[in-house]
Amino acid sequence: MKFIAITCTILFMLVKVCHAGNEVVIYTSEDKIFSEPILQQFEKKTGIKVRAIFDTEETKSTGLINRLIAEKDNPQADIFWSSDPARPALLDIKGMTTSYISTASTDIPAIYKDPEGHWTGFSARARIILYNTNLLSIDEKPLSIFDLTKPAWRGQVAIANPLFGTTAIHIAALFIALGDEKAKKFMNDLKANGVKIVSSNSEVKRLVARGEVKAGITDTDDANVAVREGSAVKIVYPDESGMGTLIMPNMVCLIKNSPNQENGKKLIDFLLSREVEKSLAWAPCAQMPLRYDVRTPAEVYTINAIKGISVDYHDVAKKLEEIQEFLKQWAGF
Amino acid sequence: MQKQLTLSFSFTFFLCLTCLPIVWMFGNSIYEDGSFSFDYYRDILFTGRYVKIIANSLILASITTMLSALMGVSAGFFLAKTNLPLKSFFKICFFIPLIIPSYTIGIAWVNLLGKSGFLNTQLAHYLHLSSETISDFIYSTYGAAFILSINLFPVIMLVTEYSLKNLSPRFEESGLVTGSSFHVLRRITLPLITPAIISGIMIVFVLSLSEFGIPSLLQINVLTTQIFTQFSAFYNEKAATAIAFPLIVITIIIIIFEYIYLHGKSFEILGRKPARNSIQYHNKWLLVGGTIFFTFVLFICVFIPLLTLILNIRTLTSFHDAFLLAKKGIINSIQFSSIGATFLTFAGFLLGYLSEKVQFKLKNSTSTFIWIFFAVPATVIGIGLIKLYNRPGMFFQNVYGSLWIIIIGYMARFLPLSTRIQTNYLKQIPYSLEEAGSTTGATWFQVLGKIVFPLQFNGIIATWLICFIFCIGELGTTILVYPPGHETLPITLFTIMANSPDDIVSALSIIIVFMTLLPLGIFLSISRYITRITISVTS
Repeated sequence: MKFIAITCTILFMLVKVCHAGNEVVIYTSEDKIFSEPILQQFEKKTGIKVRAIFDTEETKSTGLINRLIAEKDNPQADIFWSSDPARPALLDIKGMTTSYISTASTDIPAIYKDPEGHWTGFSARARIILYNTNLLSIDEKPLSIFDLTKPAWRGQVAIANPLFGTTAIHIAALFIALGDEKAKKFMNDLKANGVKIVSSNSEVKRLVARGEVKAGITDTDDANVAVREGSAVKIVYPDESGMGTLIMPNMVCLIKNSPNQENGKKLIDFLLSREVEKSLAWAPCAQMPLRYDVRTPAEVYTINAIKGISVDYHDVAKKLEEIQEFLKQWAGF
Repeated sequence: MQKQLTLSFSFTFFLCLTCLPIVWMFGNSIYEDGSFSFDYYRDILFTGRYVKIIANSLILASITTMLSALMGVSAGFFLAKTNLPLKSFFKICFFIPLIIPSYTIGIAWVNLLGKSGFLNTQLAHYLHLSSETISDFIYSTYGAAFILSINLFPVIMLVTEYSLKNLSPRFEESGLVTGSSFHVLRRITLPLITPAIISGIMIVFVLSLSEFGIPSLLQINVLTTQIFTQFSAFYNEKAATAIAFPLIVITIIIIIFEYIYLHGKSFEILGRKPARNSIQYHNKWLLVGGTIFFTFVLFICVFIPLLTLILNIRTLTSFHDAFLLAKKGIINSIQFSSIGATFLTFAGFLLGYLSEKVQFKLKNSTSTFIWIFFAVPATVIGIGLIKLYNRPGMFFQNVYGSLWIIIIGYMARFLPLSTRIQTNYLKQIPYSLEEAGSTTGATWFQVLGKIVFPLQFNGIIATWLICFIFCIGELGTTILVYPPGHETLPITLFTIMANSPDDIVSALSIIIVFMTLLPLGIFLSISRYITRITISVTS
């Protein structure tokens, strides 16, 4: 009996219940190594304790979005900082966000924010083609995603499973920009040309960097990691003379009925500030500020230096739901 | 009375922790828009769309189990029955594949056998195979099974080793009087530890059936990748739960096979005291063969994955950076996993006792019922736990906002596993010993404390070790329920994996290996010390 009492006491001493106080709870799918320092800056500046849950790469575990949806009836998170623009729009469609138009967002271009304030964008990534410089010369590099369907690229291109993550969003944006028929033809041509479907964007990077394929479609942050690691790779922003490529801002939204709404709004104001855009531009993820006048390192493109596909992210989220059955069959899943 | 109350309490504990979240999810999957609907199940069972996927899952699990059994039983035998040089070193090393996330082992082998991999080039050169053929192999179901068996064979090894150590020497001694050691091994030793081996095989089969990391990396279309797709691409938890149903059916079928095979056979092999000097084989050829085998397994399963990680690390500062990232996770992981493994071992013992030693009508159904939940994927359990425990109210918030939700997650996932392992060790203890204790007037607790626990000691150690390793590596459920500030090591690893330099990710993987081996080593030393004391007391 004595033994049981002692054990129980020790175990209860270990419990650290998370009580509400001057705090804010954030769920973020932005990579931990980039988002954590920014959240620490906010803590230092305001004295508000930030309690964060970070996500894994989308194809490695069933992560945050499922947790947010499951917690819908009793939300734990005050804000959701998404590394892509479609998931906050999806939460909006599911009625899980609440409106907040931050004063810090006035100089962010209108196309990157919801007019009703359910989500607001900042610092962006883009979809790019990464190619291996040992296998391709500058003259041979692909300039358009449509080049990758040509016979010369047979079996030499990798793409992440289009059912997930930014690849799914990219394909949905293509369906909007090109129309269903042309987009389906592009996807089918890509498949007929022996495209290698892999598990994630970082896996695309790995295969290109190791020279197992000549080129792959991935995101700027994955590509920058390969460049920083000294791999023989280079980045192409595709279709500069055509429709452009997909620009994917980070997005932040306030969760409906969350416990710390006021602190949540303060954190949103901070995340949408120039200071954060500048930090993310100078961080290794090299994200592009959405404001034209934020100072960036020489190698980081400003948003006006590349051509973006003109899409509404709300439409992208809806399109994504529409084309999922096609993508499932295309990917063979 | 003591017995009934304790066992009823432990079964209720199981119902609340493991059963309820899963039953909740399945109930939810047949309830749509205010009425019952079996649409998702109809799609799976009657449309034929899933036949190939289920077949893929079965092929993957079968090949993985065969390879793991081959390596695991042999390794367990050499550890328990021979005096190979550096035996303890090999044993600790063989834990490593179970500790390294399967994803990391997968990347190591894909790098080696991929089109531009070192081993691919060598094999292509010497075996006159095309580079594509080798690369296609590693990206196939067979390649996935090969990698998974590396990851899972230590489970069978541990179960085999400890059940051989439990074996009373008198059976083998009497065999040796009339036959050669080879005959004793074939006709006496192996048949007597059959339930333990079968239990290890079943665990590995179900684990490979519900494995997600490797099939996802290699893009193999199996049930778990389908479940993942429904969760992460379609956000459809009902369809995802329904796809988990075939996993449960397959598990029931294997239990029936096991029941048919073991029915009516007796495995009560323990003597009146724990085995101290079981028969050891000293044949020279066996020692040479064992050493070659251990070196080969060490090379394939430990050396290659570890070397891949080490080669990625360019400077020692990577360890410093990784350690700073992992500091919190290390403390949390060791703390949570030790508590989890202790609870699991204790509850598993009581449930194992209930399903093996108590005579009642539903005995067989109870053990089946407990085991079928093991195949349910981690995500389904995680979402189920959120739905059950994330509610307003002091009690629920205290559980959901603290480490207890993680411990409950461990219990929900691994209680069937700990029960299964303990059940098979309990099979070895003759009931007559307990009866003898009761006749002398001892209470049930006294019988457990003085007779069953000491005889079951090896089983308890094996269960704690396996549960500890599984808890420390758990990702799927924990990531869905962990409160802020309660990150464990796998969560730290997987959250920094995206976009962190490779050297930090590799350094962190190595830290995970050593942080798991350290408490394991301490636990093994303590348990050896206690075994010695127990044996001297019971003698």
